[in-house]
Amino acid sequence: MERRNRLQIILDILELMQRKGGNIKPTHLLYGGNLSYDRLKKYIKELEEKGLIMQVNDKGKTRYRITDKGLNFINEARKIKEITDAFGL
Amino acid sequence: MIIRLIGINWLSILDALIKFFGAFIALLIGIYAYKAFKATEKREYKLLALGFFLITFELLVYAIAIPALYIFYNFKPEITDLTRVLLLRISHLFNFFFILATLFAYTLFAYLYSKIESKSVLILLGTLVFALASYSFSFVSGVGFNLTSILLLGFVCYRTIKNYREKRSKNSLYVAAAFSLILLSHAFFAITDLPSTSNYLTSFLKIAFGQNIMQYISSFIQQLYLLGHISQLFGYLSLFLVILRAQYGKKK
Repeated sequence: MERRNRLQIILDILELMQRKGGNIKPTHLLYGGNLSYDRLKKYIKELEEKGLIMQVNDKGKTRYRITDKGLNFINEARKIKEITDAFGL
Repeated sequence: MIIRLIGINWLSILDALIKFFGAFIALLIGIYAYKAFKATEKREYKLLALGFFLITFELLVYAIAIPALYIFYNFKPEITDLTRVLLLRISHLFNFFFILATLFAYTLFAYLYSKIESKSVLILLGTLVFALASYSFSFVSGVGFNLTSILLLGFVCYRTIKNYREKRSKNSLYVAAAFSLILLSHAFFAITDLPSTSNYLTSFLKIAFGQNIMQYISSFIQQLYLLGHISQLFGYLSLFLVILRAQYGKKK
């Protein structure tokens, strides 16, 4: 299986959130994202800092929600991926 | 395909228009590659972006130089011999930037596809490109430049075709086709530059086939020059298709 690059991992996380209605539990993100806990934590921190996702409190439980900026990023990232894949680098 | 002052005709105008179109496409791909670099921090995308920005630069140099020099050289009243010499020098300078940027971009692409990590290889290749471009500064012939381009693009074509055979996607096919068509255009331009490069060749042809042979060759060269431009245009159109498909389509 081909190793996912950083862009693909970010895209997978955001698309997973989008599929789950834009709102997801950290455990679902962990299984669905196919990442170790440490790596996922790193990605979540980065995505939060970039404003692509946000942490929300739902009845005392932590959840993550994709922002409008995150939804726009999905479209942009798909285009970027399609072009870079075409070059095969 | 070298900037010249003499013999400018409608083909040169077509040339300039194709270069503007190519510059626009190269700029778009450069921007996407740069965005990919920002998202992934992968060095390959940074170099790919740099390569396409260099292509944008060289195409713009060419597209602007042709009409500007043409107007100065042919329409300026009371042009002195000194001005003509100066214009000739300026055209050589444009050539220098054009060749340097083009070959450096192709070198970057070849380096990227070679998957060599070493920076010293890139520096060495860059030095060789600079030496070749400096040589071309005082020697207005496209043969050396076009042959070097063919060699570099040949390797890039091999890798992009290989990528297409692995992925079997339309976009990878368009990229492979684009590089192949641009390579083909350099082959056409190399042939068109041959008679102006070699006095021995022209003398031999005149002796072997008579003085009239040069008229036939001139007409043949114009056709090859046109084919070179058509090939180049289709190369850029192929890259444009990749952008359009990424922007609006989803089909693989």
